[in-house]
Amino acid sequence: MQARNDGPLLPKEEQQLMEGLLAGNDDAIRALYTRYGRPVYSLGYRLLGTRESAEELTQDVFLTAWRKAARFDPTRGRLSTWLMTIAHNLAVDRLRRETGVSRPTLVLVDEVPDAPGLDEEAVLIERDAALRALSSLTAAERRLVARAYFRGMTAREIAETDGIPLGTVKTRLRSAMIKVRKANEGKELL
Amino acid sequence: MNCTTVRDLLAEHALGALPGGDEATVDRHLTWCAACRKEAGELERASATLAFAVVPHDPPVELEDRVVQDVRAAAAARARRPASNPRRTRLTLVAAFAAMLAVLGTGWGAVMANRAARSDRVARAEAIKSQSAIERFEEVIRAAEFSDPENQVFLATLSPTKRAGGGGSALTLVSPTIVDMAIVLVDGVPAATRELLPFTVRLRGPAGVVTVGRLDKDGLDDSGAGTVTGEFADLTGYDTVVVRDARGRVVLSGSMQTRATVASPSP
Repeated sequence: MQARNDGPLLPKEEQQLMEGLLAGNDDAIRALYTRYGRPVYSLGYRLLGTRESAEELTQDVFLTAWRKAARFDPTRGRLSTWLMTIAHNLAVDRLRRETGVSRPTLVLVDEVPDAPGLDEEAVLIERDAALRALSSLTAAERRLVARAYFRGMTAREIAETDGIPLGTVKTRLRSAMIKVRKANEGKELL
Repeated sequence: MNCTTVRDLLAEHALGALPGGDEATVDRHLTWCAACRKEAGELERASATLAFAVVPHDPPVELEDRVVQDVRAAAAARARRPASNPRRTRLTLVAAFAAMLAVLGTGWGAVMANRAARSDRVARAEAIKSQSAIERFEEVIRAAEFSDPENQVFLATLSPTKRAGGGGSALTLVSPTIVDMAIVLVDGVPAATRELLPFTVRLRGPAGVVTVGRLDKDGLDDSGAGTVTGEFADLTGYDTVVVRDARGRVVLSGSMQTRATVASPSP
């Protein structure tokens, strides 16, 4: 199996990659890891706070992706979305399971690697989209989204922590997600 | 929980900001409501974008090999399992399901809800038999070829329209690792209704309608009982069973309900 490492994949290429993953094909697993290993690990590190947890999460994510590979449908959404949703769900599950876990301080993108490799082109496109989406939010919305998405806090926990009415938290989260969705309209067509 | 309530929660659902109970309730709603599922999908795509906003960190070089080894080992373990023969698998499931229904008689729903429980000795004996049949059925579901913990089994009791008569039960197996299956058993269809064969058995779901099979005069016995089975790529969200006669009129219908499910991260 030969998979390109640069630029976004076509739906057909994503499907082939997932078929290779399902079969346990070395090249397919490595191609998938080359593209998404670093973003998955980075998300895990940010949510879980330690390198060990991020490594375990990364292994869990690719194993889960293998188990669910037959369910992946490129006509319903992109591979990156599917994989990062798995990563986020597993990370939040782990955050909530591990009682007493110290939630790491949030740091969103504040720098871009100086010399990104060619194989990171697709990820850089995703990061541009993420920055664009976040820049469309007000400071208050950004803060709430960060607490929910990157710290795994429920709306009630945010309300209690920040001393904001629960209804306000819910309304802001909803308006924020509508903006994020709007900022990325058409992205699925890439 | 209705659609309006669910829609209010979908942003939090996409962000992972719902407590477990609410999340499970929303997930259940999404299995059958295509409109809410579409909205949820769009918000999930939006939230997945956020994952790329974190400062990148390089994983250790050896992590790639560990990931490859994990997946290869899992794939090899699956390959070592006895080959799943789709026909045998289906027949096994049909037999277990039919055996359970034969004992339960009133349909699985009544027994599951304990509505069939009575205090007399006969009822207790029936309950033991019923429980035993359910356990045998669950053993089949847990057997190697169905052993993926993320398999979901949905069951329905089919009710007749006013004039049609008869009844039935349906089962769908939704699996990430083996082909999805549907089994529909009808029983006691009166002779008058059988004059309008063949019956067409369909499932309604998010992508429209799929046909499980047709029942003609050879497919129904003298007591008006028959079985149709079908295999499908994905039966996720197919929640309604409808049996129509040759004129297209509904004879039997029912809604699928979760029988066994293991919570898992979506997608």
